[in-house]
Amino acid sequence: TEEECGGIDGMSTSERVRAAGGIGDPLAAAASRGSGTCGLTGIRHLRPCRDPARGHGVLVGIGPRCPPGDLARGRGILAGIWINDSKINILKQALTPRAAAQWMVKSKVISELQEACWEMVSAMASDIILLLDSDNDGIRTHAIKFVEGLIITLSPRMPDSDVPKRHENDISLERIPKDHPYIKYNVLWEEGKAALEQLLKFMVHPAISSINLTAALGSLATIARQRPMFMAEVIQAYETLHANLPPTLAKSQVSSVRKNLKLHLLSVLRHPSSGDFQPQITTLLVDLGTQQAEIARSMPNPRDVRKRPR
Amino acid sequence: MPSSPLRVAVVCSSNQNRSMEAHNILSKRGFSVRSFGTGTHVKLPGPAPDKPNVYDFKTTYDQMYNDLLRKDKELYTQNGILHMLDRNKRIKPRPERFQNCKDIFDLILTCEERVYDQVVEDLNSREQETCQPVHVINVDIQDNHEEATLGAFLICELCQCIQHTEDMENEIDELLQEFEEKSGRTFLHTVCFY
Repeated sequence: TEEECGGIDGMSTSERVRAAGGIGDPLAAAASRGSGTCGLTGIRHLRPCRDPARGHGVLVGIGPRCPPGDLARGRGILAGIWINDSKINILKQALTPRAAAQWMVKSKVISELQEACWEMVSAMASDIILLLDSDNDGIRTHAIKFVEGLIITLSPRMPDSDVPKRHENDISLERIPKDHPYIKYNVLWEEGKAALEQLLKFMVHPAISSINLTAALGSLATIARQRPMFMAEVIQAYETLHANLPPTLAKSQVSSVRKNLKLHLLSVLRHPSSGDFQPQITTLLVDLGTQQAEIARSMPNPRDVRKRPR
Repeated sequence: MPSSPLRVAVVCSSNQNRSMEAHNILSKRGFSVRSFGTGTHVKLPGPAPDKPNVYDFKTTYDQMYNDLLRKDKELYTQNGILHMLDRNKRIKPRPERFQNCKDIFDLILTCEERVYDQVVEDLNSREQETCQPVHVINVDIQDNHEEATLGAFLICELCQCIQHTEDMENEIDELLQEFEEKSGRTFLHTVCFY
């Protein structure tokens, strides 16, 4: 079956990602792989379905009853779920939950195909979270980035959220109507919080690799800046890590991790909503050898500071 | 071994000595390599430690060569600067600043901690687009001709080891540990995302 997917087994993680064209519009990705048959081939590898016939059947069974636009969209979403055994192209899948949510929100009436796609995307997301436990360090790194994106999507953007220009139009929880006929705001919000819990739990593993730790520290900084309601959890995680660096790290890895922690603490400190956490952040930064002048330079501009309700 | 060559960048402060020595060797060994500096200006030694020759990144190696030839041919021949510029202009026209390059690499090697910090800070300040990982590794190299040559060979050996891994992202942590033991040096290492 690997041949059907282009024989990507045996490639390195980054090569697999490159081979699949990185992350991008799932529709474009589907188109680049030719006809819908490739989408169906992909579904056969769908781990969440476990029963390949079921994934296969979604388009074959429901497809003919759908308007052509829906079918193309569904094919695009399902093509994004492209798993080759346990070695998966996680980066490519990172946009899939967002694309699926966008589709669901835009429709007033949810079709059978949409329901099926949503179910599969949700199952895929749960499966990728499990890959934080993969034996492969690179796959774990990609899983961390996937979980970061999932947390951002499944949590509401607030007025004090940093919004990267490129992601201004991305969907996130606040754009999901509370009375949506199929997807439930509160359920997704809980899933977003649970994903963060998973990431935090992953970070305190005593044998976490240096590179996974580095990736996770960066993801947490992104989460704190884009979803400041999680800043308390992020700072707490940084404090815990600083006090309990994994004993498995070599001396040079400890230096790399400490340097990384300092960089991300400064970036969180610069956020206008860091106010309540400045004492903890400053203490950590001083412990990490940061000069007072550098800390002062990274304090948010008083004009931008926003007080968050605690 | 991955079928496609690693996209490597070597970065020092002025893109003259350490990064260019490594660029030269890596390029001869078939790597897809580019080199950069992170400084705001390109600095070359002058007649006294407090009188460096300062150029902007737009100045070509050839223009620098002719400028120094005109200023003091004997001094800049004797201290090897003209020879270095002559080598550099055969590799590429002018120095390049890392912060101005938006190309994607798999591996970025820096030649001192300050440069590593600048590279990592720059990568982290960019908006993430593809989430493709890039590994940044610092190999401390003193900024003189002899150390640049030794450092370039070390960087080349490291790149060859990484290129030969079955799965770079799975093996790089362990490989660096082994390389530290073998070389008696320590390396800073982090992963950033494009």
